[in-house]
Amino acid sequence: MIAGEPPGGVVSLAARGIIKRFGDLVAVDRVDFDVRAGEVHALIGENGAGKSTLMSVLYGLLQPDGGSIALNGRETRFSSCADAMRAGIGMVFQHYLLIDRFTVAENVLLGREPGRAGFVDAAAARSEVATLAQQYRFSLDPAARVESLSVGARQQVELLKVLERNARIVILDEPTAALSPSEAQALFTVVRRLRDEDRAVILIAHKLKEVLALADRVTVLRHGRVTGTLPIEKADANTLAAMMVGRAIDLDAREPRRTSPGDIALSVRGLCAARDDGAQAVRDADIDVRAGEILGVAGVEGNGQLEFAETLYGLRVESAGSISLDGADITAHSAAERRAGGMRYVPADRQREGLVLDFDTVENALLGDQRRTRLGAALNLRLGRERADEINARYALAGYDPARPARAYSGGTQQKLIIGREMTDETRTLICVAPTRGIDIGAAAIIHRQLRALRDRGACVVLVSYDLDEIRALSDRIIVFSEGRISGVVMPESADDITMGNLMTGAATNA
Amino acid sequence: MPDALRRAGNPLTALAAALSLSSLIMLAFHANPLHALAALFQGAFGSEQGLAETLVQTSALLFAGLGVAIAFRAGLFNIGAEGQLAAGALCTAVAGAALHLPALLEVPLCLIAGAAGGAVWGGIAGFLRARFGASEVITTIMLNYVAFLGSSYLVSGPLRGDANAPETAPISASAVLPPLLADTRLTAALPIALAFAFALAWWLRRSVAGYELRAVGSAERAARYAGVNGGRVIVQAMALSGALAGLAGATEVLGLLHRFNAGLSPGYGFTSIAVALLGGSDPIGVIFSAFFFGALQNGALAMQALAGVPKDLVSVVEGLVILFMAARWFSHGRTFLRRPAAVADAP
Repeated sequence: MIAGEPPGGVVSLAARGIIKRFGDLVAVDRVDFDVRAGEVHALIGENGAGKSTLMSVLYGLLQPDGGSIALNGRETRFSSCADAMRAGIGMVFQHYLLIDRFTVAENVLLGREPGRAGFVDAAAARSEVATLAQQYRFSLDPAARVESLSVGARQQVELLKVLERNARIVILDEPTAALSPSEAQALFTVVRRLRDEDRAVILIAHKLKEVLALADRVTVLRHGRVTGTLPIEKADANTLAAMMVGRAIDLDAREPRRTSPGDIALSVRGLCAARDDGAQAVRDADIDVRAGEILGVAGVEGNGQLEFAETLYGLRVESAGSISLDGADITAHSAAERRAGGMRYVPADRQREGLVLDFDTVENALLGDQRRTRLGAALNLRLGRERADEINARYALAGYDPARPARAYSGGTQQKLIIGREMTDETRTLICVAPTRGIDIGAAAIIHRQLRALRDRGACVVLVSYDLDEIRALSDRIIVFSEGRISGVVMPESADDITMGNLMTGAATNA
Repeated sequence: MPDALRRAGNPLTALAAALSLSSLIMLAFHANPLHALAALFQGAFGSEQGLAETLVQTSALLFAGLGVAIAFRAGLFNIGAEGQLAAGALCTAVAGAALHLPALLEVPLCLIAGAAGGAVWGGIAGFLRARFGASEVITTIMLNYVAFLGSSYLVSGPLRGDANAPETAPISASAVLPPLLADTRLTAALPIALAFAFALAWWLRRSVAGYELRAVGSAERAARYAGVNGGRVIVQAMALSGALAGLAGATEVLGLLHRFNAGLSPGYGFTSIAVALLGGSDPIGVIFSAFFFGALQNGALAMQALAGVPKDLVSVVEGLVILFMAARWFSHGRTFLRRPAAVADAP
């Protein structure tokens, strides 16, 4: 469509006409992609557009069925990722590949530990890693075990693994998907620094805002083909979104609400709850949510929002306080009883919490309602089939087959299946956690539309999200969690970055 | 049924691998594997008596194998079938000796007593797992010893019903399970076991309780988010698993021995682990694998007599099947070299 004007600099890595097929499916179709030293080249596209497949080919994990790869002008072939690593390519995966029980230093130097005669020189390893961490201003303790680290810190360990090998080409696969805003800012600083060190950075991304802030060039993939490569000066969010989805999407749509909130539906008083390890997660939460209202719950991940949501749904026993729904006290009700009262839940971890991956689509469409809908002792599989068909009709599940196990769907499709199951006409109260995390914008737009529709039908929605833009776009009112307390209640129009940042970090309160 | 075929594919691979390796062992001892197999086949199916005896073994292995399979489906490894079998057998023997009712009433009551004994024994392990997180692998092994030694004590002390041997008193005539084939030891235990297999197949696939059991076994967190009480399902699954093992013991008592003694089971409870694994933990699959192991065990004596291959080689086959299947079972989803996410996510 549009050819990108390359900025100056040596071509580091160039792929020409890459083809990769899986059976009948052409996942990557004659794709040209190159990245130069000293630039950040973003790669965007919807789920299943072929981004990960293309990167797997560049990283030697998959062998292309056609096309060629040239490194610094010389044609090469990577038969494994070890080859790619030796050639100076490093990749940080979305799901970190770290050994939890090992220390930071052990993880970074895994396979190349300093020492002799089969013994590891642990002190040398620690100081080597400490030096490297200091260079990039990571506040990591090389002797800390990875299991004790936050998500952001784990990512820094992954980065150190790549930097320790002195990779000249760094591939980052959706690096901000699991990060808090401040962690993401820190990462951006690192990415810019990598570029300034004349490394080539490939950034696979979902969030257009990040791409626009960070990249020098951007390539859009759609259905395995390149829709275009643009220098960032010529790109804007709406253009990129249209290139990804194949039609125009209005990203700034803040549809005016059609109804006004009704009576108080969900009422929370003095709620306290503990984390799994016993530490207090939610402290004295007081909040009312009305029917026909979306309450956004913002905060840096790990400040009690998740436990708050789980306690509302009855998965976590409150240590103090009460919850009532439509005037009735439901504090002692189990999750099953709350479901019977019209409460539904969209969990944060769709693969482990939202679906039984081994179950087929019909069985998954009944999950959570298996008892309420039963016919005597039997499952109501006919209803399950109807529901599955209905979800497919509403959300267009890619590759839909009632007998297909949930495992076989892509992440975005799995999320649609969960959303479709939990958001029905029966849903009176919806608790949802990070409903569009890791989902492409097309699917996210559908989910957002359905959330608004649910609200307009008079349901009460509690939306926990780590994406401030999502919170602002959807919420009628926002509460902010900081260290387990509600540090503020904000209306979306006054929820600017500074206000929210102060409330999220606990620097200010207005509750 | 391509799905069923795929599921059977791996057990068959494991079986082929186990049999090939066993053949190599035979060759190493200068025995002819083909001769051994022919002799085994002759012993297992060569006569009406032989076939009947194969089916006798099949019945017991089927009950116990179904029990272990149900536990597997709930994500639990029940190694205690042998102890649950003993507990069930003892309860049945006591009930059968004490009751004197019409057969139509007495036989079911004695079977229920056996199922209840096994259910309690399995349920204890389930409770310890659900309440305290105690691994059922450990507790069922330990409960085996409690069952073996406890029942030995009871039949040589308080429950001794025979002056000459440590056994319970014989069961009443109305408790005896009717024979199926004249002049053989084959009883109604076989059709009862088959009925259980089909009922369980339906139950697992179609009932709400079976669905919740599979959900807990395959994704415990997702089951919890769906409002399933995981602890209750674990206790239920272990109790059901124990009840089926208990029925294996009950039918041995009612059909064959007519009393309880410590030598009641030749290790059915342990073999049933291999039966469940080879059957893919699917009730219908377990029918076939129970028949296979029944034939193997029954034919082993003929193999020893006719081909000179020690009958213990059958245990080697059993062990190899467990090894090959367990390697898959334990590595499910946590292989050492996991494929990187980028590739796994690719369409």
